[in-house]
Amino acid sequence: MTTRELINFVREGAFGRFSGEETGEIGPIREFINDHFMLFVLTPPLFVLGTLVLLPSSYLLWSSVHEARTWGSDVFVGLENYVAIFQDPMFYLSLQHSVMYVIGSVSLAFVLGLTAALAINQVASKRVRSTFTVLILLAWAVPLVVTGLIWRFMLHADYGIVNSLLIEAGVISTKLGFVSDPSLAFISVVVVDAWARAPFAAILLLAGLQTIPDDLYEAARVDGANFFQKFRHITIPHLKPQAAIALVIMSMFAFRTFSIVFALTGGGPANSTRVLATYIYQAGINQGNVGYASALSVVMILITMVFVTFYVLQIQEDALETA
Amino acid sequence: MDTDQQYRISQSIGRFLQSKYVITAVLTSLVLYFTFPIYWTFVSSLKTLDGIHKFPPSLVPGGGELVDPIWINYTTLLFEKSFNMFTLNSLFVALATTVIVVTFGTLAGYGFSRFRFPYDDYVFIGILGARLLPPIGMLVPFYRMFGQLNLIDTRLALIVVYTYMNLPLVIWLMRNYFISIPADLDEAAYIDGSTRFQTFKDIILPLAKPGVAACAILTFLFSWREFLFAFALTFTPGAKTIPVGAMMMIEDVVVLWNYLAAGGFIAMLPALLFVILFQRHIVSGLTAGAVKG
Repeated sequence: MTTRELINFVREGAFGRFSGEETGEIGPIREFINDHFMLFVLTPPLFVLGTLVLLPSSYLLWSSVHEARTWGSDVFVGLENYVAIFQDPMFYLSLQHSVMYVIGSVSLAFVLGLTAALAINQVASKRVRSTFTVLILLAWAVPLVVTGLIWRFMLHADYGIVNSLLIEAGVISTKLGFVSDPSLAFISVVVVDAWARAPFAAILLLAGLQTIPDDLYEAARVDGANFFQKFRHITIPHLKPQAAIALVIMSMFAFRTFSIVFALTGGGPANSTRVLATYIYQAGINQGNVGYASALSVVMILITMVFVTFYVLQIQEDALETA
Repeated sequence: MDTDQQYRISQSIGRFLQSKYVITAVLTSLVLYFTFPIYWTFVSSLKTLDGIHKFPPSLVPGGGELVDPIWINYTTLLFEKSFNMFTLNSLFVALATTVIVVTFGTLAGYGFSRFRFPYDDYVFIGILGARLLPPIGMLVPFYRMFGQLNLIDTRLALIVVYTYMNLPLVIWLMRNYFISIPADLDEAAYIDGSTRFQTFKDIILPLAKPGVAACAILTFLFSWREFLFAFALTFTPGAKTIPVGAMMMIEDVVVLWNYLAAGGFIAMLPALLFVILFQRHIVSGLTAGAVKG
């Protein structure tokens, strides 16, 4: 029996519908619950989740076609908000920043995470391995806004530890304003984001590495394959699905980043770190331009949908079949 | 250069890269890189403002740089800067969310693992989709709806939003967990005369405890650390959470980095403890949540 069949077998009830007669007298109420148990476990959660998802999303669509301010009445304007978005230079700037942000931070985090995963996987002792996993995972535990704030402190132009360490190492000779200099701010934001994202990549890739059977490496070693051949012909092909999922997830989450950018630079200096998320926040919450911000949100969700579709297609079979 | 020589060179590079010393060096530098900011938060939270403004800063502070008594930054923060309220709010919101999400998520997860109904696979994919929507996209409608319901600046608003953000993941994880528990057990319990509810409560739920624990930890952490909605939806100390409190420090004219570091350390503390104590659960929760959905 395949996994799929097994799941269907389980879900359809291996022995047909159950009426409660077998249990003897249990009273009419309990018997009703027994006969409709599926409704009792599924209806409340699906109702709650459905309300919490459908209500705001329909409201989002509704307000995106209205000229709506925080206070005051709403006027129907059709697609005007969307037209305005595509004529808005700030939209293109923040979209461009978002894309560069995703590419930079995800590739950096992926390389860091892969290095960490490969190195941890080489450690033979289980105890040492989980110690290293914990130490690297600690960075994941830091709330993103705290990540932004503490790095803002560490990158401070006047008394930041990063300047001090780099000067001591002889890399730079004068203090740099990592978050106050427009040409450096974007790089800083990307590097900090990668710091926060790499542990997750490391965990996913490590899980992938551990599913590769040792026999393969053993056989390759007997055949005289070297480190690079083993990496090229065993590790990479086996790690590909895991790596693809890690990349898609990380891109999805990097694309929506708000807290790190907001805490580190607040979108400045001179808009050099303004991304889509902070732009929506500024338009919708700071300026109270609800209609425009809603339309921006819809555009952002549509872009995310590309990632989501890819992700769901990637894992759908796996998701529905995993036991 | 002939291929044989090339082969030998790559062989020795490979052996070098896999040697104990290289791996130790790589791991040590990675660990330093990933843990240093955490160490620095802690150290800075013990410094005076003068000590913080010193350049170059000392990696291991001593003498006049440290506050005396050593916990004074924390006590000032907690008793003079309304951080006690923020802490209580964070705890209250995170615990309430965890209870709601884990209860509903476990029920739905069991339902999805044992019963079929029309279009159930599509509903399930829809739940995954709900989890993947960017929260910032939903901020504006939630903000305005709460405004009309007079829920802005209440803890209830945060609980509602965090339920929306965490429930899909927990349903997904719990369903996978329940499927890994054989249906033979349900069947055996029915034959022995127990009702479906008794079977769920007495047989299946105890077996699913590790899964429930992982979901509870993840939900608690995600609610505790959330910033965007907490920042946008709360204004007064009566509803603000710790991440918001830490962020507020930056808006003063002079940034009090020592208090900010102390606030930041309080904000990361539960997550650090959870990671150290329940590393295995969190790792399996994260990977299952990512790979299996």
